[in-house]
Amino acid sequence: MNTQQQLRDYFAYVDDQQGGVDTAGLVENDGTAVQVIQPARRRRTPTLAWVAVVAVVVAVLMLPILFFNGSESDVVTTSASTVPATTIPPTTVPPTTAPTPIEGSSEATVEWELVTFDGVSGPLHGDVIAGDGRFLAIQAALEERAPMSEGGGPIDADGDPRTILWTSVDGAVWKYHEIDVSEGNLPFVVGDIDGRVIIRQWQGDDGAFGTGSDGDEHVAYWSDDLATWTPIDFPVMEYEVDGVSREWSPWDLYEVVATDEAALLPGRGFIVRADLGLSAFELIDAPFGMDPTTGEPLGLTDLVATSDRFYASVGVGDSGLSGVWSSVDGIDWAEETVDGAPISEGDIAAGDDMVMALDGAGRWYRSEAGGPFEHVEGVSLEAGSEGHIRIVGSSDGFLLLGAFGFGDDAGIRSLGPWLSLDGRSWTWTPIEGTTADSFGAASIGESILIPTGSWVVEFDGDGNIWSEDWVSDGGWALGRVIPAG
Amino acid sequence: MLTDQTMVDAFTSWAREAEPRIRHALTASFGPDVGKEATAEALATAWEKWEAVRASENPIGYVFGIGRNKARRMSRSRRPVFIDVPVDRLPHVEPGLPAALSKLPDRQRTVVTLLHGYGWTMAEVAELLGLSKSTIQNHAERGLARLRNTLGVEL
Repeated sequence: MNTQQQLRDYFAYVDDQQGGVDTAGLVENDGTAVQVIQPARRRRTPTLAWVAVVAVVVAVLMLPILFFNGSESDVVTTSASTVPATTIPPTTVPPTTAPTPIEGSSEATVEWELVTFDGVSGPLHGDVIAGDGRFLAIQAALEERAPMSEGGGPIDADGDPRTILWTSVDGAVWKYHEIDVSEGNLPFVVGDIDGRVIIRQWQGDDGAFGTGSDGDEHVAYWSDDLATWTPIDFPVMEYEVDGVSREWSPWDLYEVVATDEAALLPGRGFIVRADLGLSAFELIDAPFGMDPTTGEPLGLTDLVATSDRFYASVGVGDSGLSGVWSSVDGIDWAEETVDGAPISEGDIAAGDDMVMALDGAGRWYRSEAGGPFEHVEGVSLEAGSEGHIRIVGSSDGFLLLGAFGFGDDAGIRSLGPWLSLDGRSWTWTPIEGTTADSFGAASIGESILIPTGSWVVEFDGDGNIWSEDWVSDGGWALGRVIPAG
Repeated sequence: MLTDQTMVDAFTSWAREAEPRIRHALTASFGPDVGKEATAEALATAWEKWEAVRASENPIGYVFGIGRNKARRMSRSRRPVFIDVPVDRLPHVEPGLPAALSKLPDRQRTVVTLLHGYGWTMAEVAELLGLSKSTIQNHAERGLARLRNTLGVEL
């Protein structure tokens, strides 16, 4: 039985077991009073121990979230937080939440402007990605599109079934490309390798839902000219489970990462190595990856590439392995260590020849030109803080976005965007007039694109993360990096 | 001008129709126990704020927001808890489905559950969450893929 049918049956059972709220009992007889007739809410009785715990938590939360090259002498204590002793720029970010650029980090500034995609409104589908010397973005389906606000153009008020692929070299001027990939749902851009753009989409009867059914075909296309799109003929991969031959194809192709020599395609429980032309494929038996004997999913959490090396962040999975691994060819992998200790799983980002890793304890590491990782001193994520951070690599540096939350929703705090050209010193570059930060971002050359749409992380009352996903509703900010001096 | 009893009747009528949708939405986000409890409290609050709810362009979304805040305060665990699959009643449902659901990111779980568990349309989910349909589609596709991944590749 497919997944959707299981969900339907399971929640029918949940509904049956749960029962409904008695709405007839919500209002008292006098018509004004309210009576909740459901079982009384569980109330927590404060105890001394509980109060003590809360006090300690509050005290911890008053500590700075991030230190950027900060020493103790750089830090002053305010009534609400401890922040570096410099002026916090006037932005919409609460002043007690954002770390402040400090001495030694003013290596560049960023000027921001809103990106309008040539006046065509409507949400984008998936991320804007940094491709091979350009940005790429796909705009939403026809019913999402609004008429162009000015200047006319390819979209009329009645809607247009065509799919738009936007490309831009500098992030400011965007070029329209019409994509015709026949029936199916709106595609995602999953790679731009050596000038070859790869997109993928679901095709099947469940197109209205856009999620694909289990039997639907998962199709990827490539194009060198953005006009002619050719289906990628993924071969069927064979492997054995308990001596029984099994097959798998196609893959959930969410991204393609590539060095100058090869591409890796992480899929559902597999990593596949391909040549840059995507004409030859090879199932990889990575130590942390595909397990052909069990078919169990990967523990892979992140996969990036510099020009000559792949880096994978691996969570504890069925293999029992965890940490950051690297590989020149995508086949033979070695675990990265610092002073003999492994780097625990976290976020990683890669530029042309640099890679940064943020481990699970909030420590940052960098590696340059394939060399060993080094701990980046003075940059840390305060232990005990709850949040999520994302670093994005580009040919010219790194971009950091993050959000942290404490207490209730009002405590969501922004940590971004920060910029670093070398992975060592960082500059906070707030976007004036925006109130939201997102994790998804793309950077390229001397320009940066960051979604400025919705809040991206939700926190519960205990400061825990409920979602690590992010949303862009079509608002993007373009930043131009202006190196100091 | 409505009399008190007229208002009570109007509210009760609305609550009767809205209750399943609010409960389903909160269940999708927080699990059955907290979801139902939060629904009851949200509906009670809806009566207190009935004028504002009634005037809202999206009353169900409005009350869902109230319920979500209440649910967050009453949740004791980071992840929602879904009831086990009874093998005798649902032999075809993967036993790992409840755990896999609880591990999904909140928004993905909410969207996948409402779309595929409760049969909402994409437009209804988009209206509830105040997001575009394409964003809902993104969440649904990624959530369902992650669910399949967690439950096994052969589903």
